[in-house]
Amino acid sequence: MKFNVDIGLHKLTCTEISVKQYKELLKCIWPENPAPASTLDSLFEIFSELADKPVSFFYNLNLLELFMFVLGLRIQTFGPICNLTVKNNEDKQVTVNLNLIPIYQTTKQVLHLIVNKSINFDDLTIKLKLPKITRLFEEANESCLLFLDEIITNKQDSIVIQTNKQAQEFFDAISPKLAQAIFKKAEEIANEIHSVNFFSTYSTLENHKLPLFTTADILLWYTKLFFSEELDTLYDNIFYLSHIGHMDASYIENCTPGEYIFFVKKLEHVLQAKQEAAGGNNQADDHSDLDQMSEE
Amino acid sequence: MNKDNKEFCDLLTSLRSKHAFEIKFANDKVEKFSPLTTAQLKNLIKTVVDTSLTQIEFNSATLAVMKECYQGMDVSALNDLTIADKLLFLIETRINSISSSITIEDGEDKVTLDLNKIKENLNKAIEDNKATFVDHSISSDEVTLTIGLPTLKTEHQVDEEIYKTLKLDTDNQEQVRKLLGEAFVVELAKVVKSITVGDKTLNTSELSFPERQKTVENLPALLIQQVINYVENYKKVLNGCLVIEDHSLPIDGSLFSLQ
Repeated sequence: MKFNVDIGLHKLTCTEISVKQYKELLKCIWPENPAPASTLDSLFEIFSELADKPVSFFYNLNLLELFMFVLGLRIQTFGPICNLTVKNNEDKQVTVNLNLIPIYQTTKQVLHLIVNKSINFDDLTIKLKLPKITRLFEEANESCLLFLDEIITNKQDSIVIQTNKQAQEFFDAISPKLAQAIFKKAEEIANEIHSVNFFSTYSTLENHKLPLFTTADILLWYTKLFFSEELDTLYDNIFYLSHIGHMDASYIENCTPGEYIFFVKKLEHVLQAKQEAAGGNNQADDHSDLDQMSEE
Repeated sequence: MNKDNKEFCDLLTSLRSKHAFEIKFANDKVEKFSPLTTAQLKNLIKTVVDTSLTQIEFNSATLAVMKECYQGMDVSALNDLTIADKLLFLIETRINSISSSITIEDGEDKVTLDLNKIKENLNKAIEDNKATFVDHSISSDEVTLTIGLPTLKTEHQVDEEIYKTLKLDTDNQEQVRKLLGEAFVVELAKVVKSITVGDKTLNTSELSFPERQKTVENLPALLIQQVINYVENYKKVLNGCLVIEDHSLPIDGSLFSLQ
């Protein structure tokens, strides 16, 4: 089945993620602090299969567009509600049912606000944009260099800045006044993003912040939040579905995660019924199997 | 840099020359300079590191920037400009490249100074002290000295040949005393442009600075005293130009901070 994801300038038609691809996704984000560059590289291979776009397409997106893609994928795969445990205003641990749809919409609005920022200075128009993923991982002496996108003269000559090195060369050649203007505009864009708090509509979480972001490691944090099943739980469930549920492992891997969850719950239900029928006695093995299986 | 970028940077250079500004120096010559680039600004600011070489690094950076921003025909002419001209260049460049106001820290206070006022002070001082600011002669017995404000070439020579080669051990009091004494002679030697004895003239700018120092050390005491008076006088005049309402403007990399 296909579904659409709107990521601002691009509207993507994607196939649903399979359990096999879902397993690869969990493997990418499984380490406690996944290295952003290599993790995104692996994730883009999965996204490339889903969206039928080359990996380079995702490298040319900015962080907010990528976030919208991950949100769209998560909503399609497991629905729009994501559970998150936080300490509330009274310092008690609570589970928040985070609705991802408003988060998606807010992100889209912010993207729309900041998509075309420019500075007019003397005979130049300097265009600033959120940096592409490729530029995030290039060396940059100043963070404002990441936002430099295009320079247009009054004669409509245009130079598109492809790398941070190019951005540095232009930055070094301009006047300090223009450099300061660029710095301020880049700061304006970053502040626009950082001012967003997804917890603002949750009255019990007034003192907490769930921010929009400008770094790849926070994107990965959100990805782990949205796809939080433990990898070993997935492996266990596949084992039990094939060992106890007599399902073919390759069949399971070709299902969607939603179907896999359905089968896991079904197996739980069947085992529960068996246990009750047997009066709960001498079913130590099955009982421990039930304990092992868990759901999202 | 690839070809497209080079063409564009040339374009940026031509745009900067549109905003070139003129400076009238103490010798009444008017020269054009382009405003600073960000790279040049960084080179000036990064000299603000608290080491014994801070001022020397700033002097070197200033001279390099002056030559890069110069829009005239003969860049070697800049070597004959004096330290008063350097002050004019720094103030004008700061005004044209960043702004005419600067906030400095004076003790616990933050004070905003108007650099146009400093510029006025300098120009007035140059006008009122022409006799001091141009080269002139002093004599005693058969020895005639031509003295004048140190040139940028001389200042650079002193920095490279004397101050950068110093290895100071502040615990060694004898060494400290010796170096202070030498520094004193350096300040005198900087202003002595030529020495004439009878019909023989020695142009001291053709000597290495250590040789220049040695030559000055052998001058008659009466002439040395006149040179000391001259050095004290010009420093008093120039330093006085940098004071507004009891707040003194530092002439170092912090002049180019974006405040």
